[in-house]
Amino acid sequence: MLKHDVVIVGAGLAGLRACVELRKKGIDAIIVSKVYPTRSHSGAAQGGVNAALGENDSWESHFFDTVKGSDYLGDQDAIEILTSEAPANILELQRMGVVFNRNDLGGIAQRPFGGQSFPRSCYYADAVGHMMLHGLFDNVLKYKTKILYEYFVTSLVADNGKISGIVAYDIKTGKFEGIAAKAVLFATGGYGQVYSSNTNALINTGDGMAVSLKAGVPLMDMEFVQFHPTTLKSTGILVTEGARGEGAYLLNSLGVRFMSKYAPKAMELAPRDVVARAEQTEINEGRGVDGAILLDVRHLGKERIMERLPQIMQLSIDFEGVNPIYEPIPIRPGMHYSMGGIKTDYNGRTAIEGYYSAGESACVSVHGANRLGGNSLLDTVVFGRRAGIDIAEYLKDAAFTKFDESLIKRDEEIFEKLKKSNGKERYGLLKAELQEEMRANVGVFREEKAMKKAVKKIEELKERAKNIGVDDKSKLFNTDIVEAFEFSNILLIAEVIANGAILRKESRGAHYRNDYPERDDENWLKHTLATLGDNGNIKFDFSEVSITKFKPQPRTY
Amino acid sequence: MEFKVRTYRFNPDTSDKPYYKEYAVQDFPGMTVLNALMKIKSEIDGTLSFRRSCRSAICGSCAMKINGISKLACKTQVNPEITKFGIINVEPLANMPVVRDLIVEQESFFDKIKEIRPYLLGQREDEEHHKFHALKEGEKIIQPVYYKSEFQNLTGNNDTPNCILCECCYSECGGVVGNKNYLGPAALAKLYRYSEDPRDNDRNGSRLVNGSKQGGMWDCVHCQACEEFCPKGISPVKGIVKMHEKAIKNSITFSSGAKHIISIAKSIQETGRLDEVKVAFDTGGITGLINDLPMAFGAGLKGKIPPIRLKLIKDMDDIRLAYKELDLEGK
Amino acid sequence: MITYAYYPGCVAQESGKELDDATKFVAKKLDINLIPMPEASCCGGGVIDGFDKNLKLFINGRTLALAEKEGLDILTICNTCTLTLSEVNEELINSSESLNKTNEYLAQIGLKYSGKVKIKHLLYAIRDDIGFDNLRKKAVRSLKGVNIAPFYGCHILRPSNVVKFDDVENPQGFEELIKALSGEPVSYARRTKCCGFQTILVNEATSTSLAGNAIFEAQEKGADVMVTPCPLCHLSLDTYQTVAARSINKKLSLPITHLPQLIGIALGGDYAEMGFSRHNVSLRSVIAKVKQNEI
Repeated sequence: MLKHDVVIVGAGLAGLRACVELRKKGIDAIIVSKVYPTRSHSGAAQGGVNAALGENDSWESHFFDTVKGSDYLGDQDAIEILTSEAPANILELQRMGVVFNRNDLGGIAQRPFGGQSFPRSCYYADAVGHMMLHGLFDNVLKYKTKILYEYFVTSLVADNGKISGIVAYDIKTGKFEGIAAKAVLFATGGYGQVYSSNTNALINTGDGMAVSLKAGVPLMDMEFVQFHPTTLKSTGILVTEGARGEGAYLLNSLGVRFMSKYAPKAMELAPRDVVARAEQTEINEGRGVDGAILLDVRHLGKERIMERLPQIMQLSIDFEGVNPIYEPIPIRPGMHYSMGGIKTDYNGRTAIEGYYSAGESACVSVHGANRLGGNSLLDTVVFGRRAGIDIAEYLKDAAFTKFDESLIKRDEEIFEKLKKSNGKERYGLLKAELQEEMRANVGVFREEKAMKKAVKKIEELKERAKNIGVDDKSKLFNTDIVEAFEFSNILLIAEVIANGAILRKESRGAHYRNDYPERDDENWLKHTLATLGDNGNIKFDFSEVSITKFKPQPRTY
Repeated sequence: MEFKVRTYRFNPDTSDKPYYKEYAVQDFPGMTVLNALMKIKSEIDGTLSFRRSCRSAICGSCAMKINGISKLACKTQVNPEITKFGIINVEPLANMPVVRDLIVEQESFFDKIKEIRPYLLGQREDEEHHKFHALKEGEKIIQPVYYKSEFQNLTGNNDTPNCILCECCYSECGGVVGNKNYLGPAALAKLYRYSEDPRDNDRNGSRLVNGSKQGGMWDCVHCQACEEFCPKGISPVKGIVKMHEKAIKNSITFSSGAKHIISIAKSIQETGRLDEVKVAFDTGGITGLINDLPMAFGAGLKGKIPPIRLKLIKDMDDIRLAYKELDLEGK
Repeated sequence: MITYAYYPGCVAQESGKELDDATKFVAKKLDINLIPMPEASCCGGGVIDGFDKNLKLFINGRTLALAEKEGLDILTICNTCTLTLSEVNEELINSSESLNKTNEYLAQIGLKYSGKVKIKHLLYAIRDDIGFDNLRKKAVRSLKGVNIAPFYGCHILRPSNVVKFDDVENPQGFEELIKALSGEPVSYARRTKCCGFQTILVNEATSTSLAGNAIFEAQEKGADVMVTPCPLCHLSLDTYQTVAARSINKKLSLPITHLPQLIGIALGGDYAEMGFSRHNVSLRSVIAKVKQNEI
């Protein structure tokens, strides 16, 4: 059994940021990650990280934009923290070695992003996530941090409401390991693989959320799933909102900038939920181009494209066979981000004492019903940092609690049983069925009948999943067994999303119901909290939204 | 179209010998090698093991040898490979031990990244006193000033901060083949990245001094493979050469690699030519020459020893002028 | 007849004299007119930019300008010279800043460069300007039955956006040439790998192991002889072969020829005049094989 004061699970931006905060204080914090840290999905973030730095900009404006963007479901106390701490966080990253593009005055360059009143997205060309991830990772190396990489976490262990540690599967050796800790932070990212046509890495299977749910920690607002308006038609690979920030047009088959109809003022820079719906409407009404919309950057000119959007250019060439300098890029909405997640407060604390979460896996909630582009990277560093600070404080009085070692054995048996199974079902194919079901029936536009069908499909898949066969019976680097287990996590998360979406009988932010097309503040200005009942069913509860400064108003762009 | 994927298979858990296994796969438009491998894994054979994550060429997980060359499986299209080679032959990266199938042990690679101290050393003075603070109502933050030009070597599309540590360069690197202790292109590109950072406060030039030690930047064999095969279009070797120049201009010349280059420059300055004997002598000093004696002797017997005094090239003054113009005469 | 400004590079005029001789023989046989460049300087051995980048531009800009003055393209017989001259050429063509700077220097010595010169390595000059068919027709000795391992080396292939002769992933020029001479090209993985020459004086053991690996693989694949287009590779592969064998702890004994020596034999050159006696590893076995074809 390993024993460390703090175990950070996940090595994307939130995990690394928290880790730096702890390690620079000399605290015994280690990183446990399913992949080597630099492989984390934060690296794929492209366009920007928001902070009100400009002379005419103010953090209060960023505050309001974010509240409005969240369709008033975001907690205003948390959003105030997010936006007022944003500028200092950016400068701190810069001091740590992160490089941002510069403006002519010697400050950090900023570009416009959707739903923001000012150009306030700081960037490094169109690879800011990559830049931040590697910059933070370098700092984790600076503080000589122990990293258990290619470890897959299967359980949280708690004792009387206090965290005891985790159970993890060492992918390299096939051994289960208990790791006792006084504090555990989950920065395990999202669940993009629940949907087909998503922008997420293949590793984004909602593991942290599923493990938390199974440990009795509530998940909040899981029905809010962000569909990014611009993902490559064939692969779902992300095309940054920065493209529209730089001035790209969205065109339908008639060559019309259709956003004038949906968001006459903000046009292409309306928030993602608005743009994604507009695109889907155009496609549904027959004005798409082979089921896609065209993103046109040609008028920006070769030089600007190469300078500001080099990755987009390369991705379009490599994955879509289109050079955006000469041709518009075929794109469509694709699942991108989870607004919901493990319920935390603004210091990352959860329902279990000593157990924290930050980043996409957490729901603070600063994004409410719809996240604004450039706010997720900000979320990771602001709340990753805060969790680190809070954990350091917490440790002063914390002690190791009793670690129930039978859980190690339990997880081992689950894996062994799965491994021995010679069932006829293949998880890869079941996953594809699930993903397509979720895209089609719990997607951009939702309605009760279709969602109930999806729930039924999930039930069916759960049943069939009992008959999954795993080809790989060996111990060493058995990715077959890991993927099979990941599939069970995806299934569970899908179930939470679909049931939450059925429950919420209104349209708000990214959650749009054809059968309830209006926002209903009277009944639904509240968070949903999902937990697992004794019978394995999803139970729902509600909690209040923090409203401090901005009373809900109609949301138009 | 149906095509063949020939995979390198090795699982020390079940057998101690590697072997190759072929699979027939049906393609679809735009199919990548990673798509093909995933299709095999999910539909045909779940035991085939490989790393993968982002599938958009930014995480660096799925680097492997595809038809003999280290590439990212996620950005390599099946079609052109088939056209050129008739098959998709996949093998693990080179220069690292194989763990299983297409998975290599990366510890030594990342140890080398750590070795170059991949972080800012100290702070610029005006940054030292900065303290984090959340903004109060109406308050604005004051930014330190860094001009575009200060970051000009770090913000281009193909500049070293874009490195994703995928290990393609490391796998293709001639220097590592010969010398397992050689830092390799990715670590040296990172060294270059930090040595070019205007915020770095490396007052005594320790980066280039450390980088000049055995296994460091002077062990580059200039084979250009790192630049050629970088999936992100970065050129580690160009960064290495820039560090050579920087080291020599800062008189960090204790390494035999530096002496070698200086000697070549001197030889050209004096004769317009590369004087093989003199360069050998200057590079290795006496010891080097003694080491090479059997060699030199062997070659000498066959008349291979080059002439001791070289004829000057015609119009030698032209070359001297180049040195003078560039203020390199006494260097 | 085709005319080039002939840039043999330093090694071919010093320890690798046999390469220069063989090239001149081949040129004569193939009606290639080589105009000597007695003013041309060393290219900097592939490392001079590590001393001063502008020096690389100036001295090689001067070489390019000398050829341009004669209205000729440059023929090279060394990979590293080929790459260095090509790199400088690319830079002078693509960067007006570099071109202006270089021309300021050149003006003082009565020269000017405008970017008109092409750099051609002998291998690809024969392919593109003479044609392998013509080469085949002119061959008087057959290399039939001789297993020839082509060793491309680095700088004739990489970086491929500068030296654009062949497909960097799967080059065929060398194999085609060998086939044109009726030889059997040996297929082996290390044909495009590095010979290690650039650090041979800095780190002999590790550097020679690269050459050793390539020789060993070719040997294992049944090569009778290895041929290289670069005198630096030749030094690693032949002159240092004994050291290389020690570095990799394997028995090595593979004759290595320069490209024009191999062509020279096929074109009827006197074996003694090809300068094989200057090599470390004897060519006797190869010559014997070729002679069998003559019976």
